[in-house]
Amino acid sequence: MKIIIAGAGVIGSNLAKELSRDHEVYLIESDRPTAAKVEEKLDVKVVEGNGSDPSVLTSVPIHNADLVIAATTSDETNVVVCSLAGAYGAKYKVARVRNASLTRALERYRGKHFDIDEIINPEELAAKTILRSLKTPGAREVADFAEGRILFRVFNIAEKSPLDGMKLSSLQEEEFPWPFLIVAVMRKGEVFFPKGDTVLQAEDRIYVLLPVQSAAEFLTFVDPDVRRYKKAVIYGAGQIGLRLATLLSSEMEDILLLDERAERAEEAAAKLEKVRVIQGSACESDILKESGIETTDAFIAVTEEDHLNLVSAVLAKKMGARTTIITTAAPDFMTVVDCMNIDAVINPRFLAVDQILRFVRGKGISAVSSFAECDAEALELVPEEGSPVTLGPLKKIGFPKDSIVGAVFRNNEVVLAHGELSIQAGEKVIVFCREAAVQKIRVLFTKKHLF
Amino acid sequence: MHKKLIFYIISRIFLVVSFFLFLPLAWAAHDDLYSVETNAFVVAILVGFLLVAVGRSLFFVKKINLQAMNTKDALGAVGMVWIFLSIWGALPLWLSDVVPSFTDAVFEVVSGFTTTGSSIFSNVEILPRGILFWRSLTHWIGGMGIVVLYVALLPAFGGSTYQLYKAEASGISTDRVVPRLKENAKILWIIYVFLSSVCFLFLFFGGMSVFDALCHTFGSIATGGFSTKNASLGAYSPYLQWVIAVAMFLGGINFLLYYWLFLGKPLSLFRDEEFKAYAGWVLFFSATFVFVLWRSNLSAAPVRDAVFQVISIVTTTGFFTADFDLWPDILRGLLLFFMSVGACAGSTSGGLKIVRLVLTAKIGIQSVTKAIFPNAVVPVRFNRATVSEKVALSILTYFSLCVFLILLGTLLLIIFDSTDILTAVSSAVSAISSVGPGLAKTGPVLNYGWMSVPSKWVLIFLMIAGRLELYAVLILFSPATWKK
Repeated sequence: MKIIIAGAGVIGSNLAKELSRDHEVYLIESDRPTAAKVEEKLDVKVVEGNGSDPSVLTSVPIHNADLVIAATTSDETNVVVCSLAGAYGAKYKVARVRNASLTRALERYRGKHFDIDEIINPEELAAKTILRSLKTPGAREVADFAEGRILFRVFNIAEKSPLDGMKLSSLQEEEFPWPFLIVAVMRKGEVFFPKGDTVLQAEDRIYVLLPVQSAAEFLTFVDPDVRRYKKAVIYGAGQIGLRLATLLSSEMEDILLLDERAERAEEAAAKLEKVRVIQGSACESDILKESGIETTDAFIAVTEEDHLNLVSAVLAKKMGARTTIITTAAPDFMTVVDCMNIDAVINPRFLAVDQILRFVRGKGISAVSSFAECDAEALELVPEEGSPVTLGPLKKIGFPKDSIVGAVFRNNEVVLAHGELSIQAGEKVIVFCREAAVQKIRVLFTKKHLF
Repeated sequence: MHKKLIFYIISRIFLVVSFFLFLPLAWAAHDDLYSVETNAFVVAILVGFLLVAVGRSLFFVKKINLQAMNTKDALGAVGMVWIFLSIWGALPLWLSDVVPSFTDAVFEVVSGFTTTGSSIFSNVEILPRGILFWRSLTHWIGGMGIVVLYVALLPAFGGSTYQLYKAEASGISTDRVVPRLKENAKILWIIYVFLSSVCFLFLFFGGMSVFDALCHTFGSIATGGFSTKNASLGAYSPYLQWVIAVAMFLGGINFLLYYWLFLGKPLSLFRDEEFKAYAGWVLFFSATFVFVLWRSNLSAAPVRDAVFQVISIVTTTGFFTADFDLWPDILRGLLLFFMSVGACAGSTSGGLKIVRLVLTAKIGIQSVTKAIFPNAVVPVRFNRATVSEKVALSILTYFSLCVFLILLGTLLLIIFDSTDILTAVSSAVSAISSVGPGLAKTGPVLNYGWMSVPSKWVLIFLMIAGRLELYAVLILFSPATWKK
């Protein structure tokens, strides 16, 4: 495929990196030093210039491009890039648009006035992901498959958890009324695929597949102290903060929104009736005390400044907040945060990258989710008629070493994988694997063509 | 520097080059199955595969993270690859006792891989064919570049490939005609093989034997210069000389331009500023040479000799049809100048490259303009784009580093061999620009066999440094490279 990406920011360059493995990628970037840097790092053709300038756009093969992704920092540029690309004959156009009202207008007049096939809003994605994570308290990362019927959750095993010191085979022997499957374990930064004799330890991170109905039980099993969240404090009345406050107001009883800038705070207070808005910085203990941080279930820091998020979250945790979640813009922050006592980190731009990769990988793979600090992915695949994977029970099929089949979704029912299970064409299959194995897995799920 | 990683890359590259040795082995075995020479090739092939095996097992014992490669590693890896390649490539010559001295064997092979074409042999016509073939084949391997071939053939490892590729490719920017480097490298090699095949057919049907046609194809398209005759191209018919002249000219053009040509956009050739300068350069000086040679009555065929010699030296090939060392000083001076410049970036030729010369001139003009109008904004343009200060500075740095290395080389040659200055300067320039023959005592009909061992190592260093455009070799001398 020919893919053209405008903007070499976090989204653009990460997409380019992922996509350049299998596709021809052209990357347009207006900033010269950035352009020079990505040219050295990535296996793509970099063109210097503004993507909304037709002379720049026509210097790449826009006429027969299969996919155009406009991911510059400016909404307006992205809309223009996609519309121009459509006029020149590009097939599929994706734009990153952050402005909520612009998004609504674009959705409404799409096809008529604006030639955009998909609109991506990283902030919106982040708000929704945080909401999902708050619904399963304790989960570090979340992904949903089979339209939300199969949950993929990542947990850290706490000291007092019954899982500490448990052998996996003993977990399988016990009859749980609420099935689950541990597909991978991360110990000291290394991900591995557990076997029956693997013994779980405290501080291990486990990657678990759960049918949606076992979620609540499993949560109490992992952490007996868990209970439903009632009070949330959100720091930062930006896009994510406002959206999250709106989403949460139907889920929780008590929501506070903090922002140190007066005009933002006033604006938020005017917009959100059910939310208590406090003007002040969450990096100050007085303000946190005022918001009643010691009884807070979830502290969520979503300002545009990474360091404010980090500092306020550490402080809030110290002062008694049960869980803390922060957003970050810097990719390298994910690892830093791991050394600190913060429960979940969300990178809105990575979410956008995942979302876009989902359409591109298309064929055979209906959903994909990648995880921070590990090179593994969870894939949702639909096997084709006559593909190798449908030819016998799972144990007879030569899966790559670094992969595991997690669950199958058939007839509106979730079946966790085991060796005797046979997969039929058309079912949804969740596979967890290292990035290197993705291609091999894909082959197993597609029918072989001789030519 | 990640030493294991570098060794792993070297071993992977040897997987590619080891197969090349089967070709000269075939010639050697065809001539005499039980000769020392045949055995030497077999041993060299085994050594190559042993390196591959060690690299492989190293990879399995301790997992090597290819993503950890940084710029330093890539540059260092390319430098080391060329050093390993030179020593390994010398094995057949040395083991077969054709060249008793190890220094001489390395000199000959480095001269081959770097497409220099300067020889230590006074009589090549008595050499066994396997050795002659290997000598010429090294031109062809080194011409387009072994790392480029490796990128084209073996599975790549993501973004770091660019660093490797850039370290071996010549010129100021590594342009891409298609986004993926692997595809670019493939395109370059396909063009290379295509041009070589055409050249071979023209030579073969012009009366050369298959063996001679192959060797001269390698020597000309790769702008190398090893011949199978003592008189070089002087031993062949005028027709063959013209074919070789055209082949050398084609080898001096940026290979990416052929891509546009084959896509049916011939005009893009004439839109390229460097190509225009190159063509004009060759035309103008050919005319000058024709005029001087005709006036001075030094040649029986002034047009052919002049054009052939200008192209041969401008493209840094080093074939000859006449002993140009006997020509008037004005022509010898010009030839020395051509040697240092070379042809287009992205071609198989060596030297500074025309693009750098043009840009240096433009930067000079810019500085003069700025002296007149101190506040003027004067952009330096090339191919309708502005050249950034950073690129301008890197060109000037490259220029001065080259001058420094030439001076150092000259000085060392004078010290070690107490030669005359002209011999020393022309040999140093000829080595760093991968030309081959120099002037005076290293003139076209003479050779480098008489030089002392240290002098030969100086030239070996200059040849590799010049071929890799300095940095890949120079960083190996910096202590910072070897620190973790």
